[in-house]
Amino acid sequence: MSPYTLTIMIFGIGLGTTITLMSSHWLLAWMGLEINTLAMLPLMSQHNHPRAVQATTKYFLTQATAAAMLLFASTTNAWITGEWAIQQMTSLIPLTMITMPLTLKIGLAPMHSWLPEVLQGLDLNTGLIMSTWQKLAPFALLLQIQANNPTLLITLGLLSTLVGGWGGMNQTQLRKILAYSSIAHLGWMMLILPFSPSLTLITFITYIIMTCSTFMIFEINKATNINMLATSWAKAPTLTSLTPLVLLSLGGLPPLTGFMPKWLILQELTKQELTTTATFVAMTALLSLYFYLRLSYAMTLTMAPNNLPGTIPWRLQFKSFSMPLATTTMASITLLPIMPAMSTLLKL
Amino acid sequence: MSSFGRALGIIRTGTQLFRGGPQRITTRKASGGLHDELQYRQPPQITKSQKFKSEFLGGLMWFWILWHFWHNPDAVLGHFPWPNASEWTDEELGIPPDDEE
Amino acid sequence: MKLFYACSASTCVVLILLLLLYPVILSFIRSKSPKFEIYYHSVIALGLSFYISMMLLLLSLILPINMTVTILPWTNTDVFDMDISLQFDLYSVMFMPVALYVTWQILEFAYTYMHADPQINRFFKYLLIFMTAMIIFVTANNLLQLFIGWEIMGIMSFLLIGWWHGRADANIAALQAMIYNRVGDIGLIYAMAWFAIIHNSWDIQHIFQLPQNEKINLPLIALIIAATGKSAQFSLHPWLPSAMEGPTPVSALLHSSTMVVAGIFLLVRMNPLMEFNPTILTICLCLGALTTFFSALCALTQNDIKKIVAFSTSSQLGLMMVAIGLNQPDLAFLHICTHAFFKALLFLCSGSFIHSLNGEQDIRKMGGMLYLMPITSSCFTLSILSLMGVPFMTGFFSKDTILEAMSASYVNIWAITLTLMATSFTAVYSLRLIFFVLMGRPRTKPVSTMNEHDPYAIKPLVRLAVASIITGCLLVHYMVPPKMPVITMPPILKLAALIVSLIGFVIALGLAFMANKQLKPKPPSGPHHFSNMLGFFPTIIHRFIPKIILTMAQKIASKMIDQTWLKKTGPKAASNINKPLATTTSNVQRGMIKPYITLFLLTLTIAGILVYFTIF
Repeated sequence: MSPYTLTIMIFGIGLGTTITLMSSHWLLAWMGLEINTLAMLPLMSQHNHPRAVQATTKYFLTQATAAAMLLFASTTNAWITGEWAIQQMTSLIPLTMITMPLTLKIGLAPMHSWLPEVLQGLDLNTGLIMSTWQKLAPFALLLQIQANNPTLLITLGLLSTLVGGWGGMNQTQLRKILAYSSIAHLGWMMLILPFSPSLTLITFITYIIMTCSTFMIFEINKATNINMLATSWAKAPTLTSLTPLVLLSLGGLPPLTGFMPKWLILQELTKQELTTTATFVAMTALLSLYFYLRLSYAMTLTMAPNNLPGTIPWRLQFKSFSMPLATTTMASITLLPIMPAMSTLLKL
Repeated sequence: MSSFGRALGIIRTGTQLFRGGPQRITTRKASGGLHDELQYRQPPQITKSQKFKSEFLGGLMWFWILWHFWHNPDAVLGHFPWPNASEWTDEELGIPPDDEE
Repeated sequence: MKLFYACSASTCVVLILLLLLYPVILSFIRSKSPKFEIYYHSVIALGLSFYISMMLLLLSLILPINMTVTILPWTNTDVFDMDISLQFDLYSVMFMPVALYVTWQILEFAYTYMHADPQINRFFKYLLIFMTAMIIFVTANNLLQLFIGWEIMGIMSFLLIGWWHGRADANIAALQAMIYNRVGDIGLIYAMAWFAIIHNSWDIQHIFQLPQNEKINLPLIALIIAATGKSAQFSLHPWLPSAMEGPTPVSALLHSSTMVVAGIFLLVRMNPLMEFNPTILTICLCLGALTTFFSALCALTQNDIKKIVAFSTSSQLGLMMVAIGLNQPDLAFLHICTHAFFKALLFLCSGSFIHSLNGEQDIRKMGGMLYLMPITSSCFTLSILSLMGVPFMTGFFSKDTILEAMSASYVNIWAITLTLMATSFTAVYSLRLIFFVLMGRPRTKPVSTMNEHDPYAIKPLVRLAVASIITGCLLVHYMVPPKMPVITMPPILKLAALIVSLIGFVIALGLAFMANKQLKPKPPSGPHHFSNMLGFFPTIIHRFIPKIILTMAQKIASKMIDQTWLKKTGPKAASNINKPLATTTSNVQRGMIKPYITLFLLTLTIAGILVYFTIF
């Protein structure tokens, strides 16, 4: 892909999301989403590989479906209430009809099925964009809708955490595991959305930080499945020892950053007298923890037998640009102490 | 420490004078009798003094036993004759005869 | 005058302790000592200690005895005082020379027996440490000092039984001794804890002031358990015959004459507490009677010379326990003292035989020793006669008195019968020993190394033999028992012990001659198995109980808790539940876009319908 095209496409991705974020009109929001999708597609298929093309196709189809449904729903809403503003949704049927495509776009269960397969078809950098930036726009819309239906969102959230856990267990492919991890995290966000949107935002931000560092770690190690993690100690020993912390942070163990959103969400749910839900969702976090632990185990806790040439890369110069990785890794491990500041700053 | 050791040495010498304990021998010799030789189907060589000692010990024991029996048989047979109550008559006990009214 | 006695007595004890420890300390001062150096020092130290203790004994003849000397305070707190204090009464003053004399002879003899051992210096150091502990034990005036002596003796016993630790049997025996002694220790610790909590004092003289009521039964039973463990009374006895795996001098010193009597000594010490307590006395009596009978029974069919002697020790310990049960602690103590001499002699003679026969312990492979080793044989016979209680030998004065006291008392007839039977059994196995070891023709190996030329082997035997003849008479004249034993009784009771012994002797003699003729050869019978297999006691206790425990461990701990509750219902259940669900989740991913979109539309429809019906 020529650099000009690449620049235009990346600009398009940014523009689309920005338009959506800034809009208060459903039509404009829809336009932003469309621009974003269309700009993403060439990036996804830039490698001209059948799997990448297949992933692009799947992405295109699902996003198109979602966009069509979104357009249909907003039009219906305008038809019923005569109102295009995003924050003024009152009619419940269009509201539900709008929520569903948005959740399809971010990949919540049971509309999640496209996400692991699409992510598996991409390289890790594009996958990083896919699982972070691409979620921003639909997510912002979901946040802006006021009168959401709590039952619907809780059901979707619980389903997502369950599916995220169970799906990841059966995987050896890192990108699929990350996809399921994304599903599980988004489930947590949906769960708390009706009660405390600011918590959803905190969760989203910490998720982005943690998933960024994970993607970048895998990128540096050139690992796409669990077996390939076994030689990571030879490539970057320090990073290898930090990775379990990042992974366990994703899993939500104290005193790591990932504990913060889970802690706050469980507290909020308990305050809302949803103790059963809180217990249940805490248990489903264990399912995810299982595959994070498995990753840590394969990467750090065992040293797999290896041939001699495989053990020397740590002597070579490290060419990669590691500043973002360092920042996000440290952030995803040590942010728990600034929890009060974060929850104050991110009050919606 | 050396003075302590010397003091111990003096005590040691003193004790050996005091008592004919085992002497400080550094090499073990078969002392006080025949030299030990490996024997095969031979009666062991027993010296006269050994025979005498064994007989003397046995004799001492029997002398001790018999001498005490002679002088102090009570310890075995009882110190006092045990009164046989069945031989006591009613008169001795002061019991009136059965037919007395 | 009292002050003089107190000073000289405590000086004597301190001197004895220093003397005994001097060879041990010597090895700290010098980095390397010549091979037999410790041996010479030990023998000299023991000889000197014996003379010092004799001085103490003579002193106590002319000066008041029964005195407590507090040397220095140990830990004094507001609530609990503890002093290092020594007790000089009949028991400690008399026991010290006896124990030191016996130890002295045994150590001198041990040179012959152990001279080829590479660690001979350490061996004598162990024995000296043991002796030190024994002195601490008998002179202790508070329970803590007593306990210290008691425990050091236990540890030394463990180390010395396991002296030849290259052999599995020796290790097992050492462990057995340790474990059985631990059971006893628990008793002693319990009693100490009880006295500390209830009475707030460990001082023995204070403890005697305790009111005699029902409550005191608990610590007394604990003390009996302690004595049972240490003195190998029935139910905790199997360690004593096993302890014969140690070197013979060790068996002679620790497991026959001195250490094993510590339990009985403890009860003798504590007797003022149980004096008027019929329950406790009856327990002691029955325990002792059972022990003496059972051990004598086991001794009847053993073939290992040391095992026989060990069982006879156990039997005599039972007799001492009977004396305690008869409330005659002085008789028990007298028997402790006399027993030490002839039992040590018996063991040394056995050791001499074993050593001369190149380590052969089976009496069936001895024979004719009377002609081969005359001095040892004389001593052997003499000690056996003393053990049987032949009149005016040392054993007679204590053993016969105990039996008389028992026959004349109106206690449990069952216990009396058992004890008398044990007495006749004593005659039987004594005769068996004499018959097999001394009489007949040699059944040894043709190559023989036996001789009696080594003066260090013979002198101790002769000294102990003389002691075995005369000390009983001396001791009985020295001791004026405060509880006068009955001396007037019908002739049949007076002679009961001798008569049963004679009957046993004659019957055994007849049997022995019949056995040689082989009139009616028969396979060994049931009673023979019972006796030979030690009453099946070790088989039951050492196999059955561990088996139950292990089975329970397997069933309850391993299978029920670990495998069922902690594994099957925990992790395994979680895995079994989640596995199919994870598979289902994965199976949705088949790479088909149509089902995905359909799933979306389906969810949308369902959600829409539900919302619709919720609103309207």
